[in-house]
Amino acid sequence: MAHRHSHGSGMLMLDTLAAHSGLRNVSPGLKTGFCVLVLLLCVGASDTVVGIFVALSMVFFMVFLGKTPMCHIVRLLKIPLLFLCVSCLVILLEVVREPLGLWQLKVGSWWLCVTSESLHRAVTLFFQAMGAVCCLYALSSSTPMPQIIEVLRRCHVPALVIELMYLIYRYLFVLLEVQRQLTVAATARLGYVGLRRSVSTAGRVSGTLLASSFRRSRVCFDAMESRGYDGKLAFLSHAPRLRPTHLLAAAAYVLALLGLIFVRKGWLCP
Amino acid sequence: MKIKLTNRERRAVMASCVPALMTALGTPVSAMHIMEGFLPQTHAIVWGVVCLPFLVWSFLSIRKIVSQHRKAVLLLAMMGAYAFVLSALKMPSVTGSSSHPTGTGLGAVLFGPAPMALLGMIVLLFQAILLAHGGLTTLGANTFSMAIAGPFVSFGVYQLCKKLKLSRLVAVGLACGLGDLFTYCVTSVQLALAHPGQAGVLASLTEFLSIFALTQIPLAIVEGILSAIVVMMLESFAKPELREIGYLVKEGN
Repeated sequence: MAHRHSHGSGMLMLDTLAAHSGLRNVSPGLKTGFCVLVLLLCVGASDTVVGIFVALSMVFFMVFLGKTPMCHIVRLLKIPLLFLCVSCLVILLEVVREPLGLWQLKVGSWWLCVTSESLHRAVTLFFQAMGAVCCLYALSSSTPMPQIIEVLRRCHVPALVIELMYLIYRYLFVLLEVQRQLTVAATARLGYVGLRRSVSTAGRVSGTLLASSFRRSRVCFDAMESRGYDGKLAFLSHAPRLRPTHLLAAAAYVLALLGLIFVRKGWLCP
Repeated sequence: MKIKLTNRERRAVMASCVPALMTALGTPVSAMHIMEGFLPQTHAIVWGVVCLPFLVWSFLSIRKIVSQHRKAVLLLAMMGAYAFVLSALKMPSVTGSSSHPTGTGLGAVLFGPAPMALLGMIVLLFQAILLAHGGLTTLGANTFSMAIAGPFVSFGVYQLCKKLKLSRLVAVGLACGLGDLFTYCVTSVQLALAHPGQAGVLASLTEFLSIFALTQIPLAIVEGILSAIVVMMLESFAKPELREIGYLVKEGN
């Protein structure tokens, strides 16, 4: 169900959103650092209120600062929601020999139980994960991938890894387009009717895709070599500069979040 | 505090479980990536640290391959992009959801397990940021299950099948299918270790295994068949490239 977005443009919705984001003039280093820090705090705190606070504030950032349409955010949030519900259900239900806790259901010789502890754990986990997911969305809906790669380069990630990342990012679009065309062609010829035939079609489509991408890589290499490629991809990067006001705002938010965590954990004297 | 239920009420509860189970059947467990924020901090860090030696080894091996022939870097990048695009592949609908194959098993058969660790991690990072499959804090755990454990099993099974003189297509199919299954087992272990219930890790492991088995076992079978077809197509259409990456070296055809 998450993969109904099987066409190219819908698939990389986040990439498109990032390119149009109202926050694209904020320094990518700051955005990446800020989101990763908040993410770590949210996961580290593992607390319901902190999770809700992070989730709501990140959605607020996306809508009011990033100017991301609300309908897109809702669509994005639906993706993890289903996984989250099932996994939380697993954590909520305990399979034990004897009935215990708040609610129980006999299945054969076993009992499915909900204890207050498991309820608490499932609820905490749900909101912790929701906060973290919103934080990830805030990063990826405001920062285009090349800028994130540029940040990683400045963090001294080896040049070979950076090169691979740029190339993979570039080829994603090429292959997605080829894959889309192949799938449309196969669908138009009734290739996906019936399970047996669709398995075979899916295999053929992916086989053709890989064969053509290998062939394409050779052509690409020749083209790059003829333009003087010797193992180093050089791009002009014009990343937006860091502004003091942005830094201050980020710092204020992190301090507020830290304060909330301290209060919730009871580390501040009452 | 126990709540006594009459038979009828119990039946109502049972009936209300059905939609929940149907959702479980239809969930996008999307190649079993653990979602963002689902692992506690310590687990996230520990899985990241576990991956580190593999990643360093993988980096060194990629550097060696690339220094021997430069073209390989493009082939590896294509393989990475391919693994990503597989997640957009229109798949025969398995148990109502269209889950997608991982592609790292196939990569391990073609390139060996060493480059796949780093490549898989990059792909997972892209999937987290561009598709919100998986996440940044769970990157370590996902890398371990999908880019390290799975490919290793695939590669081992493939070598074993070659020793046993099985046909190459059967070998590829088995390798990729079993690699996928192993990935799902490792993910279930990771989830169970992170969130054990009162009955302990083993009980919650069986819970996770049995819930995710609904989508993952058919998916593994499909992935095996798919990979065999892919390799068959490659052998007929991309022989020079296969020879270049050393997959077809010893056959001499």
